Amino acid sequence: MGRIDFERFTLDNGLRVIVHQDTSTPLACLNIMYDVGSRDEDPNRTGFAHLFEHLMFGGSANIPSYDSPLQMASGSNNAFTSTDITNYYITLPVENLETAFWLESDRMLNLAFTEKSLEVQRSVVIEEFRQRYLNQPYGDAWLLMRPLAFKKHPYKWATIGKEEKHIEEATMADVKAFFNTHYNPQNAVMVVAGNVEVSAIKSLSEKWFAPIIKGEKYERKLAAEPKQTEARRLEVTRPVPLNAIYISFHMCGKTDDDYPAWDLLSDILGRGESCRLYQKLVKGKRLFTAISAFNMGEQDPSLFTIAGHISQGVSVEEAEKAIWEEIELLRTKLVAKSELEKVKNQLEANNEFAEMELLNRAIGLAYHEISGDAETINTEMENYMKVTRQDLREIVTASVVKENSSTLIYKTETNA
Amino acid sequence: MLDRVAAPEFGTIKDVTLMEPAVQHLDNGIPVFTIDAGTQDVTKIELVFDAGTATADRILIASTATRLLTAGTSKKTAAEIAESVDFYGAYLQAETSHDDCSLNLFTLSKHLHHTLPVLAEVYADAIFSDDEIATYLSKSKQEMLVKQEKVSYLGAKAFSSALFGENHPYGRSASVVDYDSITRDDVVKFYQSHIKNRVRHILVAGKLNENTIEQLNSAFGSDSRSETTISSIEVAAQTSRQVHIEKIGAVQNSIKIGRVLFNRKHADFIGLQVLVTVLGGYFGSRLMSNIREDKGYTYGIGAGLVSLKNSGYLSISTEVGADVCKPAIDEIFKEIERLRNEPISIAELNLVRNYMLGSILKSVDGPFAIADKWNTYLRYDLGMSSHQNLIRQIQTITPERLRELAKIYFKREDLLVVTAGKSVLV
Repeated sequence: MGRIDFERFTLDNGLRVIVHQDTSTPLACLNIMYDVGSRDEDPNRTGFAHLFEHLMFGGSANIPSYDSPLQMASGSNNAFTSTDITNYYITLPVENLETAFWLESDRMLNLAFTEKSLEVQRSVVIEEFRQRYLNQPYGDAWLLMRPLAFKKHPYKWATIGKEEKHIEEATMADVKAFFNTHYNPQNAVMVVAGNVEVSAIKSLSEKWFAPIIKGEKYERKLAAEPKQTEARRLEVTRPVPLNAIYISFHMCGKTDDDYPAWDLLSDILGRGESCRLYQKLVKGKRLFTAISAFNMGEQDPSLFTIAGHISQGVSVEEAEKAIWEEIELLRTKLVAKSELEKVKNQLEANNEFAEMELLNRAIGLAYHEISGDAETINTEMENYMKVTRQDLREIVTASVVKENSSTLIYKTETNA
Repeated sequence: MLDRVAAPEFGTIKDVTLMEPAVQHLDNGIPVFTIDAGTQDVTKIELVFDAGTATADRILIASTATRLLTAGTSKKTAAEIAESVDFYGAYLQAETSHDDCSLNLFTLSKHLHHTLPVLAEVYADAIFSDDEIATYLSKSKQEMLVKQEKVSYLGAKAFSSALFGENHPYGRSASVVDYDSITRDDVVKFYQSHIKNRVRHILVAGKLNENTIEQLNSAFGSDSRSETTISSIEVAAQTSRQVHIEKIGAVQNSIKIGRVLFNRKHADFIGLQVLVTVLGGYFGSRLMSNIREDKGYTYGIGAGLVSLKNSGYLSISTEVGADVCKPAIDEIFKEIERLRNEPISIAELNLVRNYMLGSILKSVDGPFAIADKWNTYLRYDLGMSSHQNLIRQIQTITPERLRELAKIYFKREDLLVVTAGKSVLV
């Protein structure tokens, strides 16, 4: 496995900067990750972190249009928001890197908020809500599952928000307050990757970012999710062609020692065509047309989920029973040595494929730094390699159990 | 004092270097194009066949045959094949387009000696058992029911059928009943006539082992090789102008607007690519600026040119709130008319040139990307001069020429409008 080399420094205003050199590409990436996600929202103003991400493209203090100058410099950009973080990235020819510094520092300095921009982005986000969550079969699964599984922790709402209404009601005052609380140098990590020298990145960072005032450090205080003690269940009827089932279990957060075991458990059940759920329940018993097992990879304690579309003519009860039989098997019998070796190999290969992309390396470094230490990007694999068959059995025995489960059933309208 | 108002100096891209592949031939004549580059110890092997969906007599035959290559050989079951690939963290995937299909192996270079034999085995000895075919068709048929709930899918299906005709090799798409009419015989015949011993070429990319070519030669170089005869596909003039697919309860409508054009070998293709980028090919495009950033009708809208071996088409595509479907269509046509009536300003054209050159630079970064680019060129028997011509035309095309192209190709009466969702009057 190739190491991802990097250097880091911190500006006086608290902005952490990471430089990763790759001499093989004519492109450079500038990635800024802000330590704010939908978990930091007011429960009555959900969807705000993501709406805010849209507003970040509406022009800043000194630059009326964010996109045009970047496109002029042959660059492209995008952004995404999760429950945990908000990430902005630019890719452009390395010679034009200063354009990226100019643009990103100006919007960290101050946004040029306009009523028009807020109004338009409210509608754009509502259309995004409809396109991705309401106008798709099973699109509202996470809008239903999150509040079923979480009663206190803000993971109980999805990043897009609880409902359209919250987005419609966002005001300019909310927007400004959010910017002041979260969008300052202390709450951000910048990664610059490409054929660049650390000294040059230091001067550019000093020049463009050092003048930005430090701001207040945001202290995250989130409600902990109380331990679940009995099985939860929600059945909904929707105009979907196949019944579907989602079963979620509370698990640890991404930086927890147990996380690698959870990750490998989901691979044993759900990764590749040789995985257990596909071979046994899709191919063998033909109970499902598609099935998956995954975890959300969130920083705070989160969810491990098994989800599948149930074949026509198969009852929900039969399908559900088959999933629990697979879980029971994991509890009563250790996975094969070669099975564990396989998922470790898959992980190693996947990292290698993902790291072909400069941008993936930049985002990975930023994510690890926000989570505590960028160096863990190079050491996390060791923790995966240490996972044993017994570790897998232990997490299944302790946590993949009925009283820790939330089950969501979609029933087609015809057989309701 | 730091000047934050003026943009820092920037350079424009003068040229985009496209790495040329090394070309070798296996003992039986199969050409192998190699891109040895990159930083990661990975290898991609792509076998390309003239076996796209349009080359089969009926819908679903090509995709079923391609998808089931990995579903069992005379020596291994589907599960054993999956296991022998997954164990090394590799991926073995078939991809089907209208004109060709590819069988791809992605693997860590250090495991190639374990994974390449699996690729060779499925290519030469796929057996297509009745049981695997039945499982696959029943699963696909049910997943199709799920897809049919999406307005974007309904729109896309109606769009290709209206462009080319519903029984045309480029226009047809599967209906639920089609899954019941595929037989093992159809699949096996297609495999024999289009895939087995019919490799058109092989692309190899990554940070390669020294003996990769020898390994390929022992895997694929000894069988006799036949060329697939592909009859050229005639495209008749499209007749319909407006199609609506009703979807009860839709909160958004899918809109697709376009027309049949031609493929990338046509002299006007690159010019049209620039024009279509201005219209809807990037975040700052006219359609995005108007329909998303000014009106807030949509989360996204895009326009693109699709090149096929025997044809090509323009596609403008979006999903908008069902209540604003009509105003959105009107605005799209307003933007199209503007391209016909007013020359594009030099400032906007320069921006689009720079943006396009930047995205071409990105599209040839890394060994897999370079190999994909060459695969596109090879499909049309094109080479390095086409790449150079692309760069040169983007750099030199004029606003006058773009307006001429808009006048010729973007006439309102030639454009087809497809909507899927709630009923709408245009």
